[in-house]
Amino acid sequence: MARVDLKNLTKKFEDVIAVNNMNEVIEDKQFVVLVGPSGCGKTTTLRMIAGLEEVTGGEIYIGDRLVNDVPPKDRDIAMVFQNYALYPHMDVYNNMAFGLKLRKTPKADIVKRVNNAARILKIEELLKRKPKQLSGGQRQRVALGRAIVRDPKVFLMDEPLSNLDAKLRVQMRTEIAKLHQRLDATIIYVTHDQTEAMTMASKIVIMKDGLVQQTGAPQEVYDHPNNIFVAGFIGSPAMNFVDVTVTDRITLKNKQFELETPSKIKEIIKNNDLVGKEVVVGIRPEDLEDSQFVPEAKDTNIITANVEVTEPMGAEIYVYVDIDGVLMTARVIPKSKLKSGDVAKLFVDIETIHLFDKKTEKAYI
Amino acid sequence: MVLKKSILYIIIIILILIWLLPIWTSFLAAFKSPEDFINQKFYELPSEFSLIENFKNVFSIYKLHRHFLNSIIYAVAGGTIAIIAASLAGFSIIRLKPKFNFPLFLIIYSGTLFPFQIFLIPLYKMFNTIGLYDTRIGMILFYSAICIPFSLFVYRGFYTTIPREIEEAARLDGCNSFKLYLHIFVPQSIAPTAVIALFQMTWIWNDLLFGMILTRSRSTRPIMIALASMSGPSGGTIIPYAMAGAIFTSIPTILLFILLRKYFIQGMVLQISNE
Repeated sequence: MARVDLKNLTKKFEDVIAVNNMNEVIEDKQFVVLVGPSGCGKTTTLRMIAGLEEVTGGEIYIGDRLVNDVPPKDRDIAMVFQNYALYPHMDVYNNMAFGLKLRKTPKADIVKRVNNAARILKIEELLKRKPKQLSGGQRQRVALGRAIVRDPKVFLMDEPLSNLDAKLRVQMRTEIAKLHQRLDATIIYVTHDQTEAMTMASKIVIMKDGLVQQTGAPQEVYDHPNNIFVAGFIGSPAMNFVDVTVTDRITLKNKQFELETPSKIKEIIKNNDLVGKEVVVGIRPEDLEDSQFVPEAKDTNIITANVEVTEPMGAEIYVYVDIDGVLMTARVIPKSKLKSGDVAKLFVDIETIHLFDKKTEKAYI
Repeated sequence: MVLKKSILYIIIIILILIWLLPIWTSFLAAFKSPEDFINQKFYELPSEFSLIENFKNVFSIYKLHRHFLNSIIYAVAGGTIAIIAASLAGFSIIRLKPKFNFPLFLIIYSGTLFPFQIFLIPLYKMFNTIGLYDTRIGMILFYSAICIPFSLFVYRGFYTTIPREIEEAARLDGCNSFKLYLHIFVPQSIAPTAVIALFQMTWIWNDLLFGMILTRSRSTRPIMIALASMSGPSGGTIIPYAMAGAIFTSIPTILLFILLRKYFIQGMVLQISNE
């Protein structure tokens, strides 16, 4: 296994900058997830590490070796593709053994490695089948098996679960996480699904328009987003954003509410000299609750708004309310009787709110 | 509904009969002795079974078997060379993307845009000049060249359907470009290769024009010229012999179709979906 070091990595496609001066260290045995919307440069980054895309600028190190000009086959990496990319004319055994055969691995060793990988992935009985005789989940396992048998320094995975149905995706998510623990491998995983990123990663790299927005442990990124993009991208349902003005009394005021600030927020306001200015306040849906069920609810920590729609999820209810033309989501307990057309009083857990600059969209610290 | 279906079936049966009639009479003629053929109505069954006798005469008088060998060599060698060259070219144009790959493709493909006859005179002159006239090598070269454009068109279309990720996975597994072609592209090309083999080998087998212009001697002339010359310069054709010869010359193409029909149908589907 090895660490991967990206230094000032840049990729341009004619005039479009797909990856812009990326600096990132992926430590040995780390499970790093590159996450972001379509076109953010995450797959391009992965493909540059794999050697499938030429680097426009910067350096890629795998271990201590500069690999910019090393062909893909000599980088000691294995990749799992979104559409599995299994060889249709080969059976499962040969799909997994192909890379080893090309490397002139002794036959006994190939048999041992393939059987071992098949056992780990529970596909032993499929070894004689062709890819077209397999289900999506089975194909994905074979694709993983093909990577495992190579025993590479780094595993690269390009949205490997996005072609699976929802239930299978959750199941394979756990399996890949288990696999990571079992193999003790360095894994770089690309996805646009923030849930996958949150549940699997030891480190998340969030990208947008070719730029890294934030890097960190999933919980850290969730709790302390750097900017509005990260705050809105990580977490489901997404964070709510409302424009407010910081009053002289250091409250956050909007047409529909005025929230008293706790000492932590007061300090941020003071440090950034925000009194009298307009800021964006970010509130996670789980930090809003039906005030009926919160004893400490009072006028200074509730938002009153019209309920547009409610979505009962079983364990919770999503309540969508209209705040000054903006639709906000609250995750309230299932006991709540709020329904569409009601005037809801939502308690805000003010300790956990986030403040962002309206222009730069950066978080105030 | 039943009436509609019945009418449809009647029309189909009539069409089949119309189509089968000349084949049936040819077969029938091949089984008849020359005397029977002259004395009987064309639809009457032969009074004696003369097919073997007719075949014997075809071989002893017209030496059709020698030309048969020539044509087998041309079809197999020409078809094989065209298949290898066109699949390599298709792979290169689609996957290695050399500079000017599309103009290169167009130049090669333009071989099918013009009627073949326009090549006749220049080819005849060129073959004479460089000593390829009336040689088997010359014929093999010509047939492979004429088959390449269509073959390239089919391979090029087929290779675009192989997902890019499979190529990338193979490269990560350790393939260079040639191994990629050999281990990944070739094994997947059975269906298009069957289509090309069937079409092109049949074309070479059935060619009369180029064989007639570019060869002269018995050791090089393909079978169709021999079959055509059975009719004789003054029209004194012995029809049962000619029909026996026609059946004999049809054997390879029929066998080829039976052999490749499974892949041929796959290939046709593939080709249609590409176009």
